[in-house]
Order: sequence, then structure tokens, then C-alpha cells
Amino acid sequence: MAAMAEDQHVLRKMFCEFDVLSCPDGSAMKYRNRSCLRPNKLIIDKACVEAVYRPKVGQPRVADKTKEKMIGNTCSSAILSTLYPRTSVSIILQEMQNSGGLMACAINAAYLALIRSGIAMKFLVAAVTCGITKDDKVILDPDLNKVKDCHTELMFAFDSIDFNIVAVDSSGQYTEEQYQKALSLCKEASNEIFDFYRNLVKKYACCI
Amino acid sequence: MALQYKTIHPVKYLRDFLAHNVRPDGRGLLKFRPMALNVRSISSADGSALVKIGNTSVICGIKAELATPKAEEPDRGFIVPNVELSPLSSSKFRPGPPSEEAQVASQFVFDVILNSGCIDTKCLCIVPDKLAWVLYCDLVCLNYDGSVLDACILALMAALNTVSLPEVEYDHEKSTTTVKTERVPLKILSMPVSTTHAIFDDEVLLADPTCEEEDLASGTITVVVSEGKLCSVWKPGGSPLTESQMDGCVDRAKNRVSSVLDLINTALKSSS
Amino acid sequence: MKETVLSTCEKEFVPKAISEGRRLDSRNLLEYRKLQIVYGGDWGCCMVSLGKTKVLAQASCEIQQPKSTRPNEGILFVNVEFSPMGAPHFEIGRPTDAAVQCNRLLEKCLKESRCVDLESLCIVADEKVWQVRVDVSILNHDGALVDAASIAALAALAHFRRPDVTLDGEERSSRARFSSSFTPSSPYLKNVVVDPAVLEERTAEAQIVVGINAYRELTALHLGGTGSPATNQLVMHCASLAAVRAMEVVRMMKDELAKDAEARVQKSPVGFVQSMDLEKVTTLSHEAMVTALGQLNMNVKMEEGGGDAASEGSVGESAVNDMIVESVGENSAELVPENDRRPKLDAVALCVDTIGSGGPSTWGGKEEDEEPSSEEEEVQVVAQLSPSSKPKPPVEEIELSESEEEEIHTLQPEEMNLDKGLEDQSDDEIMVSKQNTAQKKGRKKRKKKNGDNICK
Repeated sequence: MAAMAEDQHVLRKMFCEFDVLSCPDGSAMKYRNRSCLRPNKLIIDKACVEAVYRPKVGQPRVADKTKEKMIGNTCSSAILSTLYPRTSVSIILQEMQNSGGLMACAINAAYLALIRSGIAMKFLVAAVTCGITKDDKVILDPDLNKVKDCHTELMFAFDSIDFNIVAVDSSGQYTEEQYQKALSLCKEASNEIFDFYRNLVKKYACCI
Repeated sequence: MALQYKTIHPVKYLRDFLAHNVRPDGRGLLKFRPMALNVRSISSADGSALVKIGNTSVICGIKAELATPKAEEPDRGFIVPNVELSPLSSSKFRPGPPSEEAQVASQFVFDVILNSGCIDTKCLCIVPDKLAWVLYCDLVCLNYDGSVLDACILALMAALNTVSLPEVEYDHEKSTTTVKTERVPLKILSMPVSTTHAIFDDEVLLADPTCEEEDLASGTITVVVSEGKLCSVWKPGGSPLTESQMDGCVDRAKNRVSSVLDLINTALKSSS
Repeated sequence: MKETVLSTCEKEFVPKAISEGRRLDSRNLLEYRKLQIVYGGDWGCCMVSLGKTKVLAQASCEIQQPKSTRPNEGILFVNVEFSPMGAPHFEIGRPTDAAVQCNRLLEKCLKESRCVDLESLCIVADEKVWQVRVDVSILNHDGALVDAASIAALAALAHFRRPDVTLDGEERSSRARFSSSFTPSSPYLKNVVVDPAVLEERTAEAQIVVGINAYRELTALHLGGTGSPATNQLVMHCASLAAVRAMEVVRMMKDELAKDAEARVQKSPVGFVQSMDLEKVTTLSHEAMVTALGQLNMNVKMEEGGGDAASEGSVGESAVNDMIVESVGENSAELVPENDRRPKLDAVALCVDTIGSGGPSTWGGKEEDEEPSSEEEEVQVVAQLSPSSKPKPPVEEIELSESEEEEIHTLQPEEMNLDKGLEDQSDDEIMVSKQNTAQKKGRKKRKKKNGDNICK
């Protein structure tokens, strides 16, 4: 089992802070190592889930629309939208610092804010990024320095019940074998994020 | 009667069909629609192709223009894909600035070009820091009936294969350019092929969905395969899929490649 | 979403309390809220919180052509974004009047105070200069936005380093120079209240914003509101309050900047994460986690798939293999199902083996894939224009004419509940049975009409 020892993967340190904002219904600030986003949500009079993603510099571009669609769809698949007629759930994300795995961080932050807002959901979603280096190693959660060595980045989001795949995003070329390897690695790592969710709520719940 | 039933209970209507493993247009659940391809459809463009997948039709025109490369990347040209979903193609779209869906589609096409490396932008550079080609790839959807991303990628690749660029000479001393009449075909390094599936009722997978199926679906997944490798697996949310279902999508996408490439090659050969 | 309306109680209570020298958050009239400046991990990024008001600023730069009127000066661009994150009534892409005002005020302040030496941003006169851009986003709105935004913008600029460029393209990092700084202060009129919270701001008679730098030089003065005209004395009073504040703020900014620089030298982690108080109930940090990629369940997965996936797989293969490519005239090709020529939907064959072997739908009109594929393109197009050339089922016509007779056709429950009937019937049969029921219905109505001859 020498291979096992070699294949050690590290998910970077995660941070989250709830209730950073006073105006919205729920907010969470999440940092994974040094990436962080700040989402919040508020409800108006429609029946849809929308995501707004704001980059740190300049106006939102076409690429950010794709991000918004990804985040919005990923969230709306879990929200029990039929329970909230005539309601609109806006998830607003502000990029604060990018050090790799921005998309995964955004999805996790959005879910934390949804947890905080108390919206009924079918399941939770955890997103994990991994990269494939030039010498074909799969590494988990690469930071900006490691991203430079990667020709491919894959992002997977899993649900918390059966660990099925909710969202996939990728850049670069990869074989099916690499894809499978990355998938199983991320699946394993997603457990850790669900644990994080659980501990966070546990800590927070005791004082409400 | 069927029409009324469909209008009143669109989901149930589709579900009734799917219970019998058949879709409203007579296909099996995992069958693809017939495709038709016509290349060099626009004679004034530098490269063009018209694609029909079932009722979905997309036309792609490529226009090459000369420009100065970016200061950060002086030895690279540009490819600018733009997907247009006009009101002509479907009543879903309104005139005016590009809708969100069109923007997402444009970005997707751009990502596929980048990820598959089908064109080396260095080939588009004529003189570093001075002169480079810009390929404006305009993809116009004429009829919107689902799987538009597949049609866009196919149209783009077929059109890129017909592109030939004139030779350009650049005089360093006078800094003037002369465009010659001889044309050199563009070098295409790989051929990505995209395949879309829709997820209905959280578990049924429908290959190559029509517009109606897409509207009722709880999610879509698009897999792009190029040269035996995956170059994009794109599932923007929607209902969760098991790994085996995902693998099924990837397998079908891989199996489809050869016939689609055959299609492109046949169309290209029959022109000469 | 509209801004919540102020209640009469609030409108009366807040000014009254202030006239008695009290404020809602138990501050004195001339007391400021807690100011916190946190620098981010990137250069030129900082977050400022003033009480609950939170603002994020990021400075960035790019090379641009200078303005023709000032060919040897760089450009300073300020953009204040009131995103809906700050308050529900801010909308994206539609700046409110307050947002425009805040933006203008900030731009004026930063430019007029000459805190950035624009001439040092010039690379080649008349050709290339740096454009320094400051994006300020409001993260949380709790009054005194201009104050927080200006402090954030200035702190971001002070923290920012632009790449040093030589003409042959080599880049190296250097610090941009900033000489002075300012801070506006926005007190009330009459009973002067500094650093108002959002309620105080909304119930105020008027607002004065004073932009002033650390050398007691005024850079901006803005007076707005409905109150009685401000007197000389009042403006002077506000300005002197602002001057004291400006010095405090600049000192604090420099302290934080020094701390950040020291942390960077010692290579200790910097950024927003460090500012999080992990003792708080609302925060949690998760240690770096190590996972060992075991033998995985990649092999197991195949079995997991079960019958469902297996059948899917086999169908998937056949789905592709039965498509054939045909060349159709010049420049064209088609990919059509092989068995397209024998389109016969056999009801019995709808079992697993031949799932989706295709064939035309008997429901809608005929699709264009059935037309002779060897034809020229123009001909095809014509053929497509009339896809439903087959005779319509008589049902539709009957109903159409009935509606002309102003008959109300009610949909019977047994008609809606089709899927029971569908269970063991083939598509053709369904079609027939539905036509039958509809025809029966038609007949019934005809009977009612007593020989009224409608539509044959």
C-alpha cells in the first residue's frame, strides 16, 4: 500500500463567519485559506432563485454570467422552491480574494448563507476543486501557485444525501481515467466540507 | 386532443411518453436526432457552415480581420466567438442586447476553443507585436429547438475547417501591409464534439433534447470530447446525477464522436 | 425592492433624542463609531468597517492612452458600486442618486486632494500612462457611506503597488507614491452629530460632508438636505471637527499599513482571514484536512450501476451505431438513422432491445428527416415549409367548428387521465382510442344540435 501514502491530499484550511452583514436575511463570509466571498440573501416578490456574482475589479463580464448561472442553478436545485410562492431568493456573492478554487468557494459560501437564512432545502451541496498537474498527478484544492502547474482544473459539487453529482465544471483537457480519479477524490473531500457545515451549525445553534 | 393535453399538462404528457421509453418525436430516450451539415454556405465569409440537428439550426460565419496583438501576449492572435440567439429563432428571446443564455453560450464556446486547443492562436500571429489575425466567429441560431450548444460547436468546427487566410506581407521599414491573393487553409489541431443530455424527473436522461424537453427538464449536462479526451464536462446545477449516469453521458458522448466527425469530413470532401 | 418606509415614531423619536444629547447606539453626539481597517492578501485591497457599515475597496491599474488635454498625466478612476448586498434597495446596474452623488464626491475628493501623484503614472508622454482604478463596493449599509468609502479608497490606494514598467516590457513591482490624504466627515445640522447611523441619516434635516486632508486643507465640501441654511459658523465648526478626525484616521491607516508591511516581511499570513475573530460564536475555522486517496471504489462503481445503467450503456452504443452519414449534393452531408427508410412503429418492439429504434411520430406533423435526402438543398427547404402535409385528424376540425357555434367543450376527467389507458396500449392504439373518444364526443354534441350539419 505504498501508493496510498503517496497520494496524500490536503484540503486547505477553511473559515466561515456568519452574520457579517446586518441588512440581509442571512449572510456568511467564508474563507478557504485565502479565498473568500461574502454572500447574503434577501427575499422579494417572485418565485425564483437568482445569483449575482460581483468580481472585485471592474464591472461583471460575460464570464461572470456563466458563474452566476452555475451558482444560481446549483442552489435552486436544492431549495424547496414550491414552499415559497411569490418569492425571490437573491444570492449575492462578492469576490474578496481569489487564491484558487473560486467557483467551489462561491458555491460553498452560497450554501452557508442559505443555511443561515433558514430556507428549506432538500439537501446541502459541497463543492470541491481539484487540479491535474503536468505530470498527471491529481491534486486536491490547488492554491494559486499550484494552479500554475496544472493543465486542468475540475470542480465538482455533491449533494449531502447520496453524494450524487450536482454540478461539474472543468477547464483543460483530461482523460476519462483522470476524470474518474478526480471525481472520487473530490467525493471523499466533500465529506469534510459537510462536516464543516455541521460543526458550524452546531456551534452556532447552541446559543440561539 | 393530444395538443390540448400537452398544453394543459406538459410534464405529464412527456412523462406518459417516457413511461413507454419513447419521446414525443418518436425517438428512443437515448437516441440522437438526425443532423445535416452544409459547409461554405456563405460565400462572402472566410469560412462558414450551416448545421441542423433536428429542427435546431445554427449558421456560423467566420470573418478574419487584421489587428495588433495585445501588449501582454504579442505573439498571439484572437478568436472571438459570439452566439446570437435572436427573436427569429424562438419566441423565448427578445430583441436587444444579448440575453443571459446567449452570453453563457458564447462563453461556453470560447472555453471549448480554449480547452480543446483546436486552434493555436500563435498561428494567427503574422508579425509579433505588430500584426495578427482576429477570427470573428458569429454563430446565429436560426431555429431554436434544444441542444444549441451542440449545434454551435459543430457549426463552429465545420466552419473553422473551411477557413483559409490570405498571405500577408509586412514591411518593417515602412510598416505597411500587403494582402496577397493566395490563401492558406487554417490549421485545425483537434475537433471537439459536444453532446447534451437533459435530466427529466431527476432520473431519466434524454439525449439531444428538444426545446420542449429542455424547458421541462430539471437540468442539462454537456460533455465535449476531443481527440479521445474530455475537454469539458459542464453541468450547471440541476438535479443530482449518480456516477453511473454521468459515466453513461460521457460514454455516449465518446461514441458519438466518430459519426459526427464522419459527417464533417463527408461534407468537406464533397465540396472539392 | 423598495426601501422600507420610516415610521412616524422613528421620525419623531430620533431627532428628539438627539436634541436631548442622546443617540440610539448610546454614543455622544460627537463620538465616532469603531473604525477598523483590514488589508487583504492582494495588493491594494482593503476592507473598512465603521460600526456596521462595511466597505471593500480594490485598487488596480492598466496601461492606457492619456487624455489629449493632459498627455503627461496618469488617470485616476473611482467607481463606487452600491450592490444589493449592502442594502436590499440597491439595485445592480441602476445606481441610485445617492450612489451617483457618493461616486462624484469621492472622485472629486481624491483628485483634488492630489493624494496620487498623477505625473508619476506617466510611462511615455502622449502614448502610455497608467490608469489607476479604485473599485469600492458597499458590503453593508449602516450610514456614513461616504466616510467609509473614502477611507477604504484611500487605504486601498496607499496599500497598492503597481508594476514598474520599462519600455522593453520588463516588469517589476514598486510602490506608488501617495502624498497626502483626506477624510470627509458628515455631521448633522443644528445639533451637530458626527458619523450618523442609517436611521439618523434618514431623519436628519441636512448633511454636510467635509473632505479634508491631514494638513487641514479642505478638498471637498458638500451640503445637502432640506434644513434651514447653514451659517458660516456651522460650516467652520464642522470643518474643524473633520480636521481632527482626518488626522486620527490617517494615523490609524498608517499604523495598519505598517503592521501589514511587517507581517509581509516576516512572511506571516496576511489577509481578511487573519481579521476573523475565531472566538466568536458565528465563526468557525476548519483545520487543513488530509485525505488519502485509497484504492477507491472505482471498480465497485461498475457493479453499483445495476441493470439500469447497463441497459443505458448498451442503448447508448446502438444509438450511435445505427446512424449513417450520407453525402447530399455539394458541400452538404447528413447524419440520419439507418432505419429511417423503414419507419414503422411496431408496438410490440418497444421492449428493451430496440428502445428508440426511432421512426416517425404519429402525433405531430411529419419531420423533415423523412424527406428524400438525396434532393438538392433548395428543394429540402421548400419541403420543410409544409411539414404537416398529412391530413389532419377529423377531431380538430370538429372541435374548431364547434367553437364557432359557441359551444363550450369541457374536458372530461377520463380524458385527462390518460396514463391509465396508456399502460398497455401502443402509441397507435392510443391515438385511435383518443380519436374515438373525441369523435364520440363530437357525435354527442351533434346529436344535441339536432342534425345541425357541421364539418365533414
